[in-house]
Amino acid sequence: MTDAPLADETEAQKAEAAMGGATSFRTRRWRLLEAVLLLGLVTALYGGLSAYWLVIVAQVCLYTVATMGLDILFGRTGQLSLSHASFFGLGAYVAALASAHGISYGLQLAIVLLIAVLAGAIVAVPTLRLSGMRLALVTLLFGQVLQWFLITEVSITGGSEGMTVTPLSIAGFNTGEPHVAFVVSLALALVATVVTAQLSRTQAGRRMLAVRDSELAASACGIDLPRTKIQAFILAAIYAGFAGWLYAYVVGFVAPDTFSLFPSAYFLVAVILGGAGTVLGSWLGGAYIVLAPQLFAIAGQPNLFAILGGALLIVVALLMPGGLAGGISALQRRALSLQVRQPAGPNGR
Amino acid sequence: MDANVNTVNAGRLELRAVSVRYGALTALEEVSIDFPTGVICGLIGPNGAGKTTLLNAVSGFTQVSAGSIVVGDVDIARFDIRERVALGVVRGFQTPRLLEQETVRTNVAVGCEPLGHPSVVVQLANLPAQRRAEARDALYVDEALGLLDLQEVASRRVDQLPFATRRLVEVARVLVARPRIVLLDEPAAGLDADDRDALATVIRRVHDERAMTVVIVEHNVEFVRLLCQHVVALDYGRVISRGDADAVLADEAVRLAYFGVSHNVAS
Amino acid sequence: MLWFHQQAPNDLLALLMTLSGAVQVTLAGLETGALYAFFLIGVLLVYQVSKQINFSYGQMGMVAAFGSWWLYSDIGLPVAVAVIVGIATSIIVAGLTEVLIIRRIPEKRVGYDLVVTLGVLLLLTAGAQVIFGTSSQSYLDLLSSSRVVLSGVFINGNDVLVVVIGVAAVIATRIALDRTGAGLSLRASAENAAVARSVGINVTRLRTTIWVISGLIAAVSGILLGSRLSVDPFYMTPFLINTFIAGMIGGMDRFWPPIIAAFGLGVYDSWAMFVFGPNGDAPAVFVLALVILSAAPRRFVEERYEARA
Repeated sequence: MTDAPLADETEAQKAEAAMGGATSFRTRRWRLLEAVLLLGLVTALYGGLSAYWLVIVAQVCLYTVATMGLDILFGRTGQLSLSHASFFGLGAYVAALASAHGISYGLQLAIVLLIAVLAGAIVAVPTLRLSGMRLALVTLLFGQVLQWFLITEVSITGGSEGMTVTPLSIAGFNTGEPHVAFVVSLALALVATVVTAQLSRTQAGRRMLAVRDSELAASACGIDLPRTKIQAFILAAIYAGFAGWLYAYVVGFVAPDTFSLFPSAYFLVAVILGGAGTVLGSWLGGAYIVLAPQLFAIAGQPNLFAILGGALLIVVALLMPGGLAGGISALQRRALSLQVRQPAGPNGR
Repeated sequence: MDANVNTVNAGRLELRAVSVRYGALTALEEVSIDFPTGVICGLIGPNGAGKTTLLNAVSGFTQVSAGSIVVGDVDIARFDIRERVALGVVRGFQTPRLLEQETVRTNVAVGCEPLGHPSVVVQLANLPAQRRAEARDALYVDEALGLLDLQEVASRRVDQLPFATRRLVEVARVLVARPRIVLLDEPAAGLDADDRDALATVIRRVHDERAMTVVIVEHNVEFVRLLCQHVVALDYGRVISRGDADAVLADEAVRLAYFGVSHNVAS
Repeated sequence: MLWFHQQAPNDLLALLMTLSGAVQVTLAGLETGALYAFFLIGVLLVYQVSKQINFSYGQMGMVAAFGSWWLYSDIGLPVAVAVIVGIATSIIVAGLTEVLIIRRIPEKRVGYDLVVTLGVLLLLTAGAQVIFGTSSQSYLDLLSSSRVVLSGVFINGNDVLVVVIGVAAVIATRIALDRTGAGLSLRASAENAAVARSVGINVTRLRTTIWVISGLIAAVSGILLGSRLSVDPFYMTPFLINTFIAGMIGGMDRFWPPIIAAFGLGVYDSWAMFVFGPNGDAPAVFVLALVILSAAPRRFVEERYEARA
C-alpha cells in the first residue's frame, strides 16, 4: 500500500509520505541502522551486565510482553481492564504448580494457553455490553477473586507467602542462569513484538481500533463487536499468561502480591505512559515499570515509584494522550518536516 | 461481494407497510416505498418526519414494529446490522463517526469488513490468506480513495482534516466494499456552498461509476435538486409525496409540511 | 467445597438452630449495608452531577482515618484535633482533585476519569505508605466496646452509630434533593448540564461543591470503617468495590434502588463471609455480579447505538 505523492503537496505532507512509504531507500537505510544498533545493544547487554541486571532486563522483556497484551485490550480496543496482572499471575502459577508436579514444559505451555483462553473469555463475556466503570469493576472483581483464591488456598498455592519455582531446564540450559534467562525472555519478547506489529496491519487490528473509537462506526461497518472484544481479552490473557509463565522460571518465585491491584495499575501506567497502540510504546512502558523501581530503590526512595506512577497516570492521560511513543513520533515528524522545508512558515511550524 | 450479486435486483430496496413505534410514539406509519433501483433518491421532510428513523430501520439500527424491508429478494426486517452490511446495505451518519487518531487510509480500510477476512490466528501469522486479504483490501481502499479524491491526504490523521474532508472520508468508508444500497444521513450538513457542490459532484461521479441505489436524507433543497433523480417526502411518519425532484418540491402537500420553515421551497 | 471455612458446617448448623444467630448475621449485614449506603451517597452525587467515577474515593477516606491515626499516635496531637485535620485533608484532596484534574479531562476522552482517579489512588496510597506506614493499626473505638444484648442478639454501640449515621444521611440527602434550592440545582445539572447553565446555575461550582461533600462523606466513612476494622493503606479497597457494585446493581442514575442494593449487598456479604470465611465474599460477590449482569443486561447497556436525527 504505497501513497503516490502529488506535485503540489506541502512540505509536511511530503515528510509524512516519506515516513509512510515502506519502500523508499532512505527508510530502508534507517531500518537497517536501527537493526544494527539494536543488535549491538543486545550484545553489549549480554556481555556487559552483571547477573542481577541481566535478570532485570529479562524482566523488562517479560513485562513488555504483558504490557503488549494490555495494550491490545485497552490501548487498541478500549476495554479498561484492572486485573491484567491476574492474567500474568495465572501463567506464573501454572509454571509454579506444574513444575512442582513434574509436568513437561510442552504440556505446561498448552495448559497456559488453555487457561489464558478460558480466563480471557470468563472476564470478557460479562463485560461485553458494559463500558467504562462497570466494565472496569467486573475486571476488578475477577482480580479480587483470583487474589482470594491464591491467598486462601494455602495448601495449593502457598498462600500469601508464595511458592518457589525450580528454574526451567532444557538441554543443559537453565533459566536460573542469568544469561539464559536474558536470551529466552528476549526471544519471547521478539516474537511478541513481531506478532503485535503484524496486528497493526490486519483487519483484526482495525476492528479493535474501531471498537475503541466509535462502536457506532464499527457496527455500521458490520464489525462483530462482541467477538472483537472477546478476542482482545483472550489475546491479552495469552500475552500476559506466557509472559507470566516465563517470569516464574526467571525469577524463581511467585507470590500473590506480584499479581494484585497495584501491579495491574502499573500495567496501565505502562500502556498509557508508553503510548497506546504502538509496539514502541509497550517497550517504553514495560521498561519503565521494571527499571524505575530499581532506580528509585538505588536512590533510597522505593516508595517514590508508586507516587510517580500515580502522578504520571494523571499527567500523561491529561496532557500527553499519545504517551512517550506519541511524543517521539511527533518529534520525528517535526524533525523530518524541518529537514525538508526551509525557514519556518507563517504559523511557526 | 460482487460475485454473488443478482445484478438484475442489485440495489433493489423496497419498504412494505413499515411501521416503527416507540411505545405510544409512532415514528413511521405504514410506509411503503419502492426505491427505483440504481437511482439516487432523496428523502425529505420537516424535522421529526421520520427520515432518520427510516434510515435506521433499513440499516438495522432500529427494529421495525411491522412491515417488511426487501433488499433484492430478501426481507431483511429481522436481520441484524452485520447481516445487512454483508448484503450490501451500508449507512453513513449525520456527524461523521471516524477513528480520530488514525489515518484516512485506516479509517477507510475499516469499511472492508464485509469483504471477508481469515481468522485472527491466520492474520497474526501473516499466512498467505492474510497477505491476499490485505492486498485485496488495499486495492479496494485505493479505489475508494481515488473515487473521492482523497489520495493526497491518505496518510494524514483524520482529526487534523477539515470537516468537509472528514465527511468524504466517511463516505469513502461507506463505499469501499462496493455496497449496493447506500444510505446517507444529511451528508451536506455543516458544509458551505462550495463543499456542498463538490460533495454532490463526487456522489454523482461515484454513482455513475458503480451500480447502486443511494438514499439521501437531506434538508438542503438545492442539494436534493442537484443530485436526486427521485424524491420521497415524509411528514409525521407517512409518505406525502413521491416522484421526480421538481414535482415533489412543487407539491402543495410538501409545501404545507414545510410551512413556517425559512427557506422557500419553490425557488 | 474447598472454600468452606473449616468450621462453617458446624457453625452453620448451630447458628441456624438459633434464630437469634441468623438475626445476628443479618443485622451485621444491615449495619455494613448502612455504611455502604452512606458511602454510596457520595458516589451517586458525584456521578450524577459530573458523570465521573472517582476510583480514589476510598483512599480519600483512608487518608482521613489513617492520617488522623498518625497525627494522634505518632505526632501526638489530641484525638479530636487529629480527626478534624484528617477530615479536612480528605475534603481538600477531593476538592483539589476536581479542580486540578477532573476539570482538565479532555471532552472526547471517555473513560479517562477512571484512569486519572486510578492515578490519584496510587498517589494517595503510596503517600500514605510513606508517611503513615504500612502496617495495620487499630483505630478509634467509637462505641465499639459498648454492648447491649436484646433477646440473644448482641448489639454493638458502634453498629448503632453506623446505622444511625447511614440512615440519617440517606434521609437527609433525599430531603435536601427534593426540598431545597441546592437540591433542585443538583437535579437539574444532573439531568442536563447545558440547560442548567442556561438557567443560571453555576454547574462548575456545583460540581466542585459535590466533590468536596463526597470528600467529607469519604472521610466519615473511612473513620467509621476504621473503627470497625483497623486502618492501613488498603483497608478501604474492598469496601469501595462493594459500594460501586451496589451502585452498579441499582443504577448510578437513581437514588433508592442503589441505596437499597447497598443494604442488600451488606446482608449478602455478611452471609457470604459467614459461610465462606473472612475473604470469602470475593467470589460470592463476583458470582452475584455475573448473575445480575446476565439476568438484566439491558439496564446496563449504554445507549451507544443511538442514531437519532
